[in-house]
Amino acid sequence: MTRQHTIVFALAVTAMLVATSSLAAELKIGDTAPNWSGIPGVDGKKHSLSDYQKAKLVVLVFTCNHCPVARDYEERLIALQKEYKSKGVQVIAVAVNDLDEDRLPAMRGRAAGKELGDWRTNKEPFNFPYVYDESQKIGRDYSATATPHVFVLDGKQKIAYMGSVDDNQNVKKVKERFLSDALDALLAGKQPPKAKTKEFGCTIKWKEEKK
Amino acid sequence: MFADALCLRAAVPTAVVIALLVGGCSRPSSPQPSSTEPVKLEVIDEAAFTKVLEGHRGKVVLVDFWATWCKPCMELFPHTVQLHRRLADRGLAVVSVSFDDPDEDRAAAFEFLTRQGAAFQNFISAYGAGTRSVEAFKLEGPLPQVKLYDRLGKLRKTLGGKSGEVDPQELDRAVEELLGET
Repeated sequence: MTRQHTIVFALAVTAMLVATSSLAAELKIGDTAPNWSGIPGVDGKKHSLSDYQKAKLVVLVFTCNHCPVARDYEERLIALQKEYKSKGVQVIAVAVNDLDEDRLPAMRGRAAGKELGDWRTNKEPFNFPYVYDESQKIGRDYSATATPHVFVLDGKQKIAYMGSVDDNQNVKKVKERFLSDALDALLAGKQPPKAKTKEFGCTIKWKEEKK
Repeated sequence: MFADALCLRAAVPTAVVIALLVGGCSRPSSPQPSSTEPVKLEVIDEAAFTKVLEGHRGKVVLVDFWATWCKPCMELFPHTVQLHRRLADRGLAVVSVSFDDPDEDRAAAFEFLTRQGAAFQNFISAYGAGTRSVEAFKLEGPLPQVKLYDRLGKLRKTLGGKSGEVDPQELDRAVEELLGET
């Protein structure tokens, strides 16, 4: 290939990648968290980030119904919300998957503690909002890549933590509770010991681009 | 003692012949393994993984990172098995690494691999389904992920993970390109 052809080719490939990925540039710790509003929840109401501005910290968790990893974390999130509610922490679960079993009607059942399948032992309902963004915009804005994928927003709407809830899907093998440690540090006015951890789980099911 | 020596003399070349027959040199068309033939599955950490890659120097290596909790991974796996069947003779080495829990879900992983006829090296991460696996094997984002190493052992392409699902056509093209390199 001539040098000119190479440049043109590289530009074309880049354009293609940008067009097909359509994820925002990845967020960094300290960035202003993207705003979001009017997203319907399993409670029948519309939810906005501004509804929660009284919270000291917001824990935004991208999750879904079907993914075994996400399911394994539901109990931990319920327990976490219980533990940190009085300290001003608000958990919000958000789903964006383009998959029938992950949409609002099915979400209602799961949030109510029903139709749980193998991956939950207790049947407690969610003690936090579970919202569904059909447009998937919130997923793109946050560059969410997996379920579950956690973002902690501080009192100034800045990203203070990103990544996983803890270090193992198997609750018996958890050694580091990244999210809890981050919350404890932030509530004490300090930086999290690990502000960014690796997320793992299932891919987010994006709507296919029109071909 | 005499008999022993004789036996040994006969045993070694016989063993070599058997090994050749079983292990096989390059054959024009490998017989399809039965889908119930037991496969191998070993626990692995990052140090052992490096050794596995080194052992395949000279071949193009495809590493398929999967798990039984990852549906798209299990849907992609037959394609990986096909690549092995089609291209092993042309110098493609296929390796699978599962991020299932090595204690609780090893049996499920083994069962899946057996049903798939995964007649290549299969491993299960010592660290199971967690961040340590992601870090140890240097993955970015969720599963599925497929890594391709060239004949010199250099990582040349990663598919899936943060960039979305693995596209089988893109994978085929990348494998062919690397096989074609001298």
